[in-house]
Amino acid sequence: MNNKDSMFHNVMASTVKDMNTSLAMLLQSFEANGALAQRMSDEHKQSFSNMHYEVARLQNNLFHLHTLYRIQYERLPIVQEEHFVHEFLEEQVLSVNGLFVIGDVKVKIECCEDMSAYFDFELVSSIIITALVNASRYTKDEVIIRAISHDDGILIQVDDNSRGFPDTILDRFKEGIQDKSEEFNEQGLGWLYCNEIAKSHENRGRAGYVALSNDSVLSGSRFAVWLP
Amino acid sequence: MRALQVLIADDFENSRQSIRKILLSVGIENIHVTATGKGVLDECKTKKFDLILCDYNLGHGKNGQQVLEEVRSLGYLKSTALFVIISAETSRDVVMGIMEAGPDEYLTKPFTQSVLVKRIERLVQQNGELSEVKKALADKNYASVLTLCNQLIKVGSRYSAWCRRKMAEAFFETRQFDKTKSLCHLVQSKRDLDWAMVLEAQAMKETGSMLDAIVHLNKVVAQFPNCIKAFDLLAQYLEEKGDSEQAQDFLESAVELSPRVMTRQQSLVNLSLSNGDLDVALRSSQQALKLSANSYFSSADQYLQAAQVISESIIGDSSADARKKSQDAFSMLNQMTKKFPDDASTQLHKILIESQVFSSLGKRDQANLALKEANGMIEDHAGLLTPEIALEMGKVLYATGQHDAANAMFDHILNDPDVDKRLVAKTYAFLDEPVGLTARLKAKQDNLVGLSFYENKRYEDAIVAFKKAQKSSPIHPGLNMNLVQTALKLMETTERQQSLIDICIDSLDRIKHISVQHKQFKRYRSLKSYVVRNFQA
Repeated sequence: MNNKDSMFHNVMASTVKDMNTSLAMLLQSFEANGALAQRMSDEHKQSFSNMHYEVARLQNNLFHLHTLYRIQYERLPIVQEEHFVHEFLEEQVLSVNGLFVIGDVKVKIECCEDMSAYFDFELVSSIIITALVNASRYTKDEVIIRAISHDDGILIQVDDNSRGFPDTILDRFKEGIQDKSEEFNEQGLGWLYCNEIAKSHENRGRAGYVALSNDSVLSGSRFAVWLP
Repeated sequence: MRALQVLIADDFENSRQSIRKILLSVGIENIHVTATGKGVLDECKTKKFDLILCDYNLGHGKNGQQVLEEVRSLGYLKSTALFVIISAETSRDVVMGIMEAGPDEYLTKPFTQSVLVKRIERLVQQNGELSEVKKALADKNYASVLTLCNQLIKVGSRYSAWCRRKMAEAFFETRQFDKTKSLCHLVQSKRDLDWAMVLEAQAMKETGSMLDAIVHLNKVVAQFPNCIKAFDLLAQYLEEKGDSEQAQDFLESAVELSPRVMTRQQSLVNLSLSNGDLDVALRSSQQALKLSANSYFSSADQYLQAAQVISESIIGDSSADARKKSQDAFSMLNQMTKKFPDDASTQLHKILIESQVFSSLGKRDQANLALKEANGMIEDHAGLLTPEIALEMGKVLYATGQHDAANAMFDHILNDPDVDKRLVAKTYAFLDEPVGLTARLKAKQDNLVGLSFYENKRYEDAIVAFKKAQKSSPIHPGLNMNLVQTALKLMETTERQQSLIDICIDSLDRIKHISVQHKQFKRYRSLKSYVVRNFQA
């Protein structure tokens, strides 16, 4: 690595860390002031909620970017370790809970307490957070997160009662995972990132995947990830 | 949970206070705080904490990984204590280092209040259920580990997977290798697990199937590129098998994966020295010395090792760079004396290295003076002349031009049946190439050129290249034998030439230090007998 490169990598790493800390502090303020926001007028509450949502998205996107960087330059390997799924999901909900509270969204986790699965905690966390932040934005007032054993792996579904994914998003996602899309499209890239991360989880020749649909039990949209 | 005795360590006041507030909010009141690694050690020495929340960054002194290594080694923690390392660092070096130190939990910053509380709740709950097993593990009471884990699995504990792993490890520790293997096999019915595969390999090795173990470990590193233990074991097994060069490859991979573990860097120094790879030894000895700064495992060894590698790398090198390096070596050794003043054998070792550096700098008088001082010490205390010191003594004698005395020292090591194999290899590595790093690298380069000419059947060009290499490293076995082989090859195609025969005889004469324990002994013996039979009759 020459000097210019190493300069780039050092600046990259410390800048990401720094931005991440700033965003985390912002998010903590949003979480801490959630109660205050409850007493605001509807209009203020809405803009408070918007800000919170955008910051959560920023942080998540930054994480995606950083992950891609690390896969490229640090040869970041996937660490598939055993985790309790209920605890994992609970933690993901807690970390973005403010978004649900302010929008009066009921969140339910349906998962057997002792169920465990093998996956990379940080990376799958970023997948689930992506789904939760999205659901918090579009759902009317309910989100159900369900994890079940399925096909020798684990299936995690995030269902909401929004109006469902628009067809354009579903089509693009389908094209994206089949690598068919002719042109580079910004919309829906986050979902493709999730699919890539799921795909990098492997067991005995089988790889994970992400599926988007409007099969929600709450008749909204459904985000599903299967990990082997 | 409210009764927990907690220690918070973070170099930032703000962070300490925010974690403290979070704990207070859930009713935990017995909280101590500290800003430094030394603070953690002092606190843990006098109080038995249930939970230690320790940031990785603790200012200038020890970091969280080093603190954990130290409190564990000193036995300051009770068996059920929970040590959590918190870190904003996500770089692979740091994370791997932390993981190797083995904290009970690793939490990346930033985290929200509720996430921290949840993690603590879970750790406490888990500890409650597993405390007896943890105590038995701390006491190395494996029979009890087996019984307790079995009970937990029978009642369907949610920690059954953890229990099975501890059982497999306990079977291994108690040398019940068949049971180890069958349990590992059982837990892998649905997926391969790195720890179980590693344990299987270890059991294979213990039951005499070294080759199977190596094959199995190769599978592990292919499938789990992060499994540092597999790399370490591969290096260890391959070295035992006598394949120290491949062993070095794996150890280098392990160091690349997790460069912040001092002991591994030191192993790499030793292994690369016994392979005659000064370049790698130089790098890793500097790393080890750097890492020793705040480490509990710091000793005079890291200073001696680093200075010794430098002294060897600048033999016969009068460049400005070599002079600068020699100054580094002197200052390392002086720092060492300040830090570890009283040990006679360390002092002797230091003097011997200094003598070698003086020789390289062309300061014969000082080199001889140091040698005299060393001899005086050994006369007073014969016990100081260990095989390790004998090797250094031999190098000093060699450097001061006393080759016969030097060879006597080396023979002393090579003829001692009890001496460590690595030391034998290190001795040969010096005997093969008693020249500095620059000369070695030059010789290596020219040797490669020669080899590629040889492959292309350009034997005359190959001879020129090998001879050039010979100028840099006159008595290197591989190189000299390449020269012999090329000369023989050339005579197969053309007629017998006296000049080529002379090359053969001269080259073999240069490497007559090769004796039966040398790695290249067989090749040497067969070339030698061929040349004698055909040309010296």
